[in-house]
Amino acid sequence: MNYQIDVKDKILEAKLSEKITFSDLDGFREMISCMVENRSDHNVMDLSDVEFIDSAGLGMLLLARDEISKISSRLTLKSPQGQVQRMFDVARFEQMFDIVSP
Amino acid sequence: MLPVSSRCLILSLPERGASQYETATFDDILDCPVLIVDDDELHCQLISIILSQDGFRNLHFAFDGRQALHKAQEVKPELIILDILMPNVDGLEVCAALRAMAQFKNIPIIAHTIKHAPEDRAEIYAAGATDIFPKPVSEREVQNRVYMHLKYARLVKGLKQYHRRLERDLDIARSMQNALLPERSRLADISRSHGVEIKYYYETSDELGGDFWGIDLLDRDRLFIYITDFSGHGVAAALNTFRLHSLIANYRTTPGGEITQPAEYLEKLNHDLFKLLPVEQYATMLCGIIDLGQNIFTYAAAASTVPVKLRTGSGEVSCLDPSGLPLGMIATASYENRTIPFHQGDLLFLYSDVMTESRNQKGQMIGEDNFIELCGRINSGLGRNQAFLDQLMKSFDMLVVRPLHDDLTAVTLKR
Repeated sequence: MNYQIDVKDKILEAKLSEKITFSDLDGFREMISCMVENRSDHNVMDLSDVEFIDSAGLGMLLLARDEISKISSRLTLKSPQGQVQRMFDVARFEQMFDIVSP
Repeated sequence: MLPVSSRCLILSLPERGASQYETATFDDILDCPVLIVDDDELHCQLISIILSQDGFRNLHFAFDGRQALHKAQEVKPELIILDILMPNVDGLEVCAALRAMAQFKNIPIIAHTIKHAPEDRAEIYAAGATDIFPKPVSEREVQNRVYMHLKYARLVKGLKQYHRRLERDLDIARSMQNALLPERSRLADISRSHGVEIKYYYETSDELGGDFWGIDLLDRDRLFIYITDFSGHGVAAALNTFRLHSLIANYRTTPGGEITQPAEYLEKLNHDLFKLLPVEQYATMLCGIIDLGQNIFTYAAAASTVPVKLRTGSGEVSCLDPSGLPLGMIATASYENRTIPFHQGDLLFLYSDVMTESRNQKGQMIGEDNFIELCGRINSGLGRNQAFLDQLMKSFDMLVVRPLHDDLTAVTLKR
């Protein structure tokens, strides 16, 4: 997994790419810490370039949701594609996350 | 004959003593047996004085190659300082002979020699030496290198022990996980009593995983089946399988815990798991009741893999709906009961996600669509006495590159 963070007008956008799997847990946690430290009003994870997510990856999204809610900030998942979208559908992620697909 | 230069060595003993090492946790290093081999007795003495000054107190000597091998057996040194040019058996032969013995395979052997031109060094290392002290000797170098090699040897030994212990623990954990699965003899009984033939394949990964499955007989006509997989893998996932297994076992013995509908069952499990699991951990599950009287399978899913129904002698594949909130993500979740026909000749296939997420020889992930297509192809091409699961596993083995990154569970139930 790779990610790049941009902050503009109190919105933090992280653009993730490649895969989010068990072996990316450390990198993902680091990204969450970065979001928490930044304390933006709104955090967006752009998933349009993520080609694959596994069960541990979904777990990391839950962790992000939890950590970000603790600082009373918002989290939006943007543009999941292909297998990622399918995983979200199967796990009914729309019930737990704010997901936008512009 | 001893080289003149070493005879002329003037000793200036270091001021530093054993105390310098006492802050480290390695003070027992000074008690390690060290064997010093040199055909020149004076030279042995010289090394002995240098090491003694530094606090080493378990020093042994040999004065030729043959004696060195003999002495090594006797004192079991943890480090050997070995002269190379010796009469009869020379240092290179001693070194090679020691390396051939299991107990000396990995101990530090330091060649102490006048012969240290590049080609000589290559020969010495090829014989199995760990390091080379060029003669003439430098006392500070001897002390530092001996101490360093003993310390490294100790660290490596500690790591190996730790690794072995960890492997043993993982083996135990794996066999404990195996014990969570239904016994084969019980499955044979169910096949006789209910006419449902159950086969399964289970393989643990190098790391631990979070898979298991189970079956309960509800009455003459009904079987309850479940398959589950915890998020991630490793020790945390494995420990969670035990948590879930004991929850399930508790339900069996608690009044009101009886299985009525799959959706209710998942709701109850979700509620209980939510209280037990950290936020990023969850389980996926599929559970359902096969009703042989009504020829139906009623199931509920919590984000499982896509269950597949196949018909004997046909390429027809029905995919069941795996969607539903994973278990343990939110405090209260509701699930749907879904019902499909399940007749004589039908086969239900449940499996863990490693089957679709493994990679083929070209490095591509198999993927859900390809996997389901493979299931249909195998089922329609089955010979008379061939079982679907056996054939599928053969194809899977040819397709994927091992080792698998997660546990593999595959279960078939056939009427």
